[in-house]
Amino acid sequence: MEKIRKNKRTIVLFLLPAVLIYLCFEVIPVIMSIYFSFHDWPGIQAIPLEFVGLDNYKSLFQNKVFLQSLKNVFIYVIVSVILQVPLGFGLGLLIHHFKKGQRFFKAAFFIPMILSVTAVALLWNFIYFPTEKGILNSFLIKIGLENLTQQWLVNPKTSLMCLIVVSTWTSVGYYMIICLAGLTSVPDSVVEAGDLDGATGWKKVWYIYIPMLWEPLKMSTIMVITGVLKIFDTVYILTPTGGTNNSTIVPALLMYNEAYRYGHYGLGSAIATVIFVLSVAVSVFSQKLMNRRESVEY
Amino acid sequence: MKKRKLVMSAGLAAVASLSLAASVFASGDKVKVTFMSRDSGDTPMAKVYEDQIARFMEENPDIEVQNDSIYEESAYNNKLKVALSTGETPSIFYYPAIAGLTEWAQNGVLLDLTEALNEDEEWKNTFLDGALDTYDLSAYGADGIYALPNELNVDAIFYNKALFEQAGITEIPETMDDLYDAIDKLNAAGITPFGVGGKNTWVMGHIFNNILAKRIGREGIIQLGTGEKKWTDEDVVECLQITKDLKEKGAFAEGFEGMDYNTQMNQFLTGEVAMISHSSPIIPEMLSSESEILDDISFFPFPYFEDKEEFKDTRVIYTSGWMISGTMSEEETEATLKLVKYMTTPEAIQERMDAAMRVAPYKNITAPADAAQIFSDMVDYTATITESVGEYFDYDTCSTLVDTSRNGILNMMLSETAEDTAAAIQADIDANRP
Repeated sequence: MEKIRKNKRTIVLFLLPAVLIYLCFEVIPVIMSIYFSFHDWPGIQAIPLEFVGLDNYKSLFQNKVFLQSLKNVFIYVIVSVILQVPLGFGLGLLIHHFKKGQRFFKAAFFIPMILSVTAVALLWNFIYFPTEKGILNSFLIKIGLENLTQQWLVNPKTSLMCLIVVSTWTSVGYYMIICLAGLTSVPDSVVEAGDLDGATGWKKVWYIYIPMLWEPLKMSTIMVITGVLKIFDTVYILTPTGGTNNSTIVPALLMYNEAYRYGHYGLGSAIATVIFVLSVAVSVFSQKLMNRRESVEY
Repeated sequence: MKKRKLVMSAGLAAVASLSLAASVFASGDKVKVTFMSRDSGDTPMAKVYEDQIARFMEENPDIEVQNDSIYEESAYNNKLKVALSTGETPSIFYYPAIAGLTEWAQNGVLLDLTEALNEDEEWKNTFLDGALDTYDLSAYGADGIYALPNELNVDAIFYNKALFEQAGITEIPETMDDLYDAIDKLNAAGITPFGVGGKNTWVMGHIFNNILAKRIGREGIIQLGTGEKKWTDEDVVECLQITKDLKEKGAFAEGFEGMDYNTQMNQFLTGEVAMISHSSPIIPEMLSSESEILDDISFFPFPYFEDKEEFKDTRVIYTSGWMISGTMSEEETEATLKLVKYMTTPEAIQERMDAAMRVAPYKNITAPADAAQIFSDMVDYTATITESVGEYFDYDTCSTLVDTSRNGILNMMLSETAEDTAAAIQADIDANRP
């Protein structure tokens, strides 16, 4: 067995399927997308690609809708990082601390994650329904805050935040599970030592749990950032047109429309490339930022 | 050991090659035709298509028809676009465009059907007079007929007779002033006049299109598409303003901009709203529902403007057609035309109408004797139409217009002015029209 495991040919053979799948479905499409972004092509095989250099990028950065989509997605990223990671880890710590009903709460918070986006969107459509029949509006009316009722997904001031709430509700359980998994590696002796030193409540969280969960926190933050930068499904289902006055338009929705609805494959590919570059840049930047703080290992 | 491995590998390779060869030879004798419509699953139309295709294959054992139909719109569009981009264009398919087909026609993606139609006069004459002209793309720079009209979606206002009576409306509105009166009466009776799912932007888009048809007529709409007219022209801005004013007149429910199409239909079928603006395919959909007000539902043509009586008879009809691939071999083209002709015989069309209650652009087709009254009325009404026009973007080669204009109209209903909306739409056209 040991002999087989040390055989380089065997290693290559076993890695090959995964590498091939990664190449075919990840690397090659990214390279092709970058290649297409320098061309104009209406999506018909009979029409050859026309090289246009940086024209697609020029028109993209002169396009007000694209700039609006970048602004929206950055707001989406910032608010999501602020909400999803602390909430997920907070829930994880609470569930870890209060042992009672642990299995129930784990399942309850994780269920939104396994629901299909369409089901989630349908559910939130009922919540955000624009009349007094909507769950949120009827709740506000019942508690005497009638003046706060809104057309939640239509009003440009509330629509983006509504989508962020849906994404947060869906994802928070995932980060809670990551936190709980991370907590299993925190030695009891450290927590007990903290107890002896008089660390309670927030001090325990700040001086013991956060340093010891720094790696999972870093990973979760990067996952939120990359996930939100390419967000499409929630936005498409809840506000298919990108919201009133493009209030919820995001680059991925714009890319879909340009390529598949309007047949502007070059422009669509340019948007895809921008999303890719942004994802890499923001991930690297956030990782560097978070690397400044050393994680603690035992 | 090594020998055994070698023999095993050789054996496996031989079995794989033989089964591959067998499958190639098995389908090699048959000419393959792919059919891609939006009717799939359990819909009545899908069942008729399947039956007709099965019968056709039975009568033509040398042709194999693959039914790749997909009901869901975006899945359908995605599959079609991928097929076009890879050169795997389906033999027969549907796409909701007219002028938008020009680029495909010019690049050989679509078959010019002029010759096939002229060679078979009997077949050509089964289509309603003028119906084939819908897909004559000469005006856009591609000479020829590039699709066969297959269905007509006739626009009308569907209304609840009981609610009209309750509001004291004794006659159906013929003019826009009559409609405004009806809206006032319905509001006075506490009934929401129109159900509108504004979130599905096509709903307001259809209402605007009818207003456009009744104020600038067929020629005006075509000129708008070809660029002879501009969205910023006074009469077009006026149409946008009339659409916006409907909201001020209380025509729609509060919050309609955030409601979806399903809510709109639910409101209408439960007797919550008095009217919806829709087209003929809604009839089978309504009849298959469990609504208790089905007997109260009827329809009337979109009202006209008294100061534009010349467009009184211009009706909005959305034609959907079958496009034939232009990239097939001679043998495949022949087989495809054979299938299309088979599916457009009077018997085949009548069979589809009987089963699915869809209005078709063919001569001598009648509503079945046991059809619901509303459908018989729709067939009769369609026969009276002398001038029709499609959707404004059907005549425009700007692919972004459909979204820009419909989103623009919804934004206008919420806050924008008609002038700003028109300017934004025109700017999009100027930037994106080829």
